[in-house]
Amino acid sequence: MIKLLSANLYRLRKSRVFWVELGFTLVFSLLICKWNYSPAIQSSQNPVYLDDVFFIYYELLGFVLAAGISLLVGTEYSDGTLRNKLIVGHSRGSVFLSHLLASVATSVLLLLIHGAVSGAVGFYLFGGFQLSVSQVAYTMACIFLSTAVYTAIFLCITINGSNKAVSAVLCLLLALVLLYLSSWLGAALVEPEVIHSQVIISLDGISYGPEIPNPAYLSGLRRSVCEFFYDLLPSGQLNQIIQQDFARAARWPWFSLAFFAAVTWVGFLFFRQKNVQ
Amino acid sequence: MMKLLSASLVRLKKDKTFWFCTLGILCSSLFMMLSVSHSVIDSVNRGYEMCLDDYFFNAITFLGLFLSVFVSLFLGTEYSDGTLRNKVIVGHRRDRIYLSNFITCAVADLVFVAAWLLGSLPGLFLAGPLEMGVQNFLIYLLLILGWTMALTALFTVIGSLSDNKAMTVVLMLFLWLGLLLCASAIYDRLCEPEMQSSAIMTLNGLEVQDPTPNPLYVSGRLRTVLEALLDFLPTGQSILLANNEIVNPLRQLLFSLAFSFLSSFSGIMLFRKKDLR
Repeated sequence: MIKLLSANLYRLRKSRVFWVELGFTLVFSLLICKWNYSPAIQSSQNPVYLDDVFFIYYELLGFVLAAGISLLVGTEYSDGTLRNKLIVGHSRGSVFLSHLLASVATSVLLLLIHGAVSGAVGFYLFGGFQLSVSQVAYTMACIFLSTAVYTAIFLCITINGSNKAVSAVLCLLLALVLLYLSSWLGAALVEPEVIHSQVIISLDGISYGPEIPNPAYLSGLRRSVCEFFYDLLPSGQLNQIIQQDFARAARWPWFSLAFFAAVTWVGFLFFRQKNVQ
Repeated sequence: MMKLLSASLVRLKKDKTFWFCTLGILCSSLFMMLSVSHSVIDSVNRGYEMCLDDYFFNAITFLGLFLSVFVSLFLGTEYSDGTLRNKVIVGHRRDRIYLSNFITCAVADLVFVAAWLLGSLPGLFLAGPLEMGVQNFLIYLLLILGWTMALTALFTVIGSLSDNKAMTVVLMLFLWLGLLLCASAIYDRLCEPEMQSSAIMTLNGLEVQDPTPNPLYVSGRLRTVLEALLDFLPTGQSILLANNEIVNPLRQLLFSLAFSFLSSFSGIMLFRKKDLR
């Protein structure tokens, strides 16, 4: 197991895909800070805070992980490395686990690079976080767990699919679907319970008509189901973090741990019975 | 050339990815049109002024995603199965091979646009006719064909130069995503109003304060450059079409033609010198 893990990590160090991932994270983190910084806005009444900029990268994290994992782990199939590992006597469990640990290590490294660059540059340009230290620490822990869930999902797809290109397409499309699903859930849940029937703009200012129930408001079981999936999906949690909506943050770690365990277990069950050609 | 083209078209007809993408476009445009139509009809019933033109073209942005998946897998297979090398060995010229591939992908692009249109047709029955008129609708359709063709030309360059199928998939999806994000950032910045006024809550209700210059507003030569860039990028055109904000259709059509020509020309030049292993 240790040998497999060290071999995977060694391969990682030599992989161009891995370095491109790191480079992309670094450049994107810098660009986000640059794009959002304007001296005029910083000196206005409504300046941009580090909180508004720091978490934007996580919108794209799913795509970065999908591309990286599908290319890195997919090579194991195309080059026959996976079959060789099994032939020399390694169990399927240790092969799977070593890939999972190496992929999680890659994801953590990406988070660290982004945290260091965005944190340092962002702190210099926008000042500190508006969130307290404990809130930032809790949010980072939630981000780590969401990233681990993403990693497990993409690893399970790649390690159970024999075609590297198809695995890459599936992982990237899934990342996109998860992102859109979360945006859709977020938009549906943010609808207010009541709306004003009319808005009157006059010389005296703006006044509102009587309140009426919002037909787009989700209530009862439908709301609970939408909230459940919004909190369960890694993209949903990250979407809420980007929008700094921490109303149900207490249950995110438990949901992530359960989802991670379930995906890993299902992925391993399929991998155990897979015909490694 | 004709033999190459007919062989590619036969392959296209039998290609599973092509049919999956066509079905995907049909289903996604149908789903989006039905879901948006229902909420728009609901808003209209509540007194809001909305028409079909506002959202009829919303789904076209996704054509880029399906194009990237299809072109990468279709052209990637040419490399991985050695078809491309065989075509060169039997005496076909490289520029003709390139052009036949581009034309085949362009035919697929036409089918994709037709599938999008077919999926969007129920909107005409649900939410009434388009207010833009037949002539403008045809111009919009021509613009859609223009930007998708430009994107196809760009993807053909990558598909003809990258010999790793999985890497081609990732490159094209990231290129599409990058171009979309870039165009979206430019569009957002161009949408910033020149003057802004904040509203404050007083005892008399909401009061709008005197307008002040918006520091994010882009003016002068930079605005002209950004507007031209938005019109030049295929993804920029897709955003403008989706938001029904076409100002100068002729300019955009010419940009699409120039984009396609430049991409294809540079693609052929590079493909001539490519080492086909």
